[in-house]
Amino acid sequence: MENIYMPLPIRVKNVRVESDDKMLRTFDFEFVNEKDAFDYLPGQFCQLSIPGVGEAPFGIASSPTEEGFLRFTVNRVGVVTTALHHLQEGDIIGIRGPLGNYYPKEEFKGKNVVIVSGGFALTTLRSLTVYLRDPANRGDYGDITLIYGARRPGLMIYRDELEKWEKENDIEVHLTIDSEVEGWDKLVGFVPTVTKEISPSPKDAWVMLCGPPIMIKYTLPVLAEIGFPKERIYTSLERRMKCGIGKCGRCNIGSKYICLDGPVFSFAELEKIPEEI
Amino acid sequence: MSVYRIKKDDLSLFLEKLREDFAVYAPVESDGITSFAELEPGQEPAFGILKTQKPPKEVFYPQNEIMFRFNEEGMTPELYDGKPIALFGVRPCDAKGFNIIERVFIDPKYEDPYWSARRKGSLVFALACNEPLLSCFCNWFGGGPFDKTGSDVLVIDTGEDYLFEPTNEGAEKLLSNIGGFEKAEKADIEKAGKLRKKAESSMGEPPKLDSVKETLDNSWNSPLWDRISAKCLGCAVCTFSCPTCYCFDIQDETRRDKGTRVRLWDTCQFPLFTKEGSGHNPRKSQTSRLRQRFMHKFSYMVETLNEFGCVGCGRCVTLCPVNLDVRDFLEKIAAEKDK
Repeated sequence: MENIYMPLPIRVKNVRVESDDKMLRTFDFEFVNEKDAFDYLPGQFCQLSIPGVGEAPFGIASSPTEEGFLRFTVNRVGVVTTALHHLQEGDIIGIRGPLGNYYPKEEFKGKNVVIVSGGFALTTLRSLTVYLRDPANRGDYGDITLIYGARRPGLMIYRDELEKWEKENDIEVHLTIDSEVEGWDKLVGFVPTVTKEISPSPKDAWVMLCGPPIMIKYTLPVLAEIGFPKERIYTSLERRMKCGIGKCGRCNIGSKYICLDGPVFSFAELEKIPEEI
Repeated sequence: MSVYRIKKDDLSLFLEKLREDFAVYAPVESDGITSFAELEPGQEPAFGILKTQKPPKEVFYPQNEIMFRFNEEGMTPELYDGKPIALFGVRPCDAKGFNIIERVFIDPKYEDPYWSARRKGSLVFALACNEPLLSCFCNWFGGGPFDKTGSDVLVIDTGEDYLFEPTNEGAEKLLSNIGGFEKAEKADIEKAGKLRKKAESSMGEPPKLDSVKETLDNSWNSPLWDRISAKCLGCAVCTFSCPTCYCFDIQDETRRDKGTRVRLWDTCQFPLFTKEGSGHNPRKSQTSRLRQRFMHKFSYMVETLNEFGCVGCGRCVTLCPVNLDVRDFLEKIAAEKDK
């Protein structure tokens, strides 16, 4: 029997500091043994594992259409994330995955997609965006709109890439920061406010919404006002996790395990769960 | 399936023979704590105990176990590879508990190898409860003092003899291989029937729990939660002693360049269980943690496994330092419907 707790070795291909406060780092990993490489879909997560330190779950930021690396952006908050921040190119750690479900890309095939995100929650939505824009998939989807906000320009992750996307004509990108900063010529305002100003059409459109709880809280009513039904607004949730496979019992909200039934849920599903998200 | 009889005096011999092919676990007392442990040669099980303080789940799912050993070379899994396990003297509630917990460890998508390594090929000899305790309420959840769910052999103490009632062919074959049994006679079966009746009727009529899940699902914001949790100390003895609680933590322990990854029982009653790296804790209050425990057992598990996550063993009732009795809670909830 396969040992589902056994991490597979991956090697750090490159590391870069993702934010000006240096709390976010982005890692590209490659499998030490090619045979270990797995298929995954945008929205899934993995457990990164450092022997002697522990494991923690992270959403996959790369897209399955990008071959040769797995990307994760890590916020330094605890023991495992601090150890991850100390990794250097060539270092080997462990990985378990892919875990959980994914953004319902089959369900919104042929539809328009609105991606709303804030802070460093863009990770799995970057995966989704890259996936949807891949030449093999782009024809299957309608308009793609990305609304992304950060407190200030220096906290905006994947900024070079986002600025490249701004110039592309198959995606509409709106970047915003919380308050005016010298040299910033894009939008200013919180994500809910900006979303209201842009008011993407709800017709044949689905929303993937991911960000800090406070952003979600104020963006949901805006989306409802614009006319998006809860069945077509999806989010990805996080909780403290240990196993990632529905055994250790700590990531439940109501009867659902985020690791097993999620992390991606529609707000129609979440509405039935009384526990706070 | 036939029923077999063995003289009480011959049980030690039977257990000795069983030990040839199995690691035999039975109730024992050590330093004042009663639990299931592997019998040493010649050691007699402590049958005077009806209910061990620690549930026998630890035989298949130890309170702490090494999952991996690691050094600079990498990680090596450490899985149980001892003799198949036989449990003797498990009570029917606990035997049923194995079946419930197993559905978590072996679900349609993922099988837990550590659980399976101990559980596969195991044998459960359940000992019927002739005299259920006041804290017992297995009959509330479809169980009973002579219930066979989860056991390979139901053992009945008829005074001078034990009757062995196998529930599957494998177990019956094993009994005949070990030998030393006679076929039970009609009088034995009748005696067992009487004991069963007496035990069952001593437990009284259980309340109807059909409406419990629905009532709970509609009581998320009820003041009831604050009321019942007001005296809860959050000590978690209810979860550690529960035969259907399965939550665990995984921790790495290191010494110089070597170490182990261990899994340990954990509990939803401790704040750290859900506290996140950012400092955010989705279950900040003891009220929310107690609600999680009760909702999990009496609503969520009904939804995910189609059965209550409680077997009525009553350990949480007897061990709770503030007398928080889950039966009072359930009766209150069950009575809500009539209001």
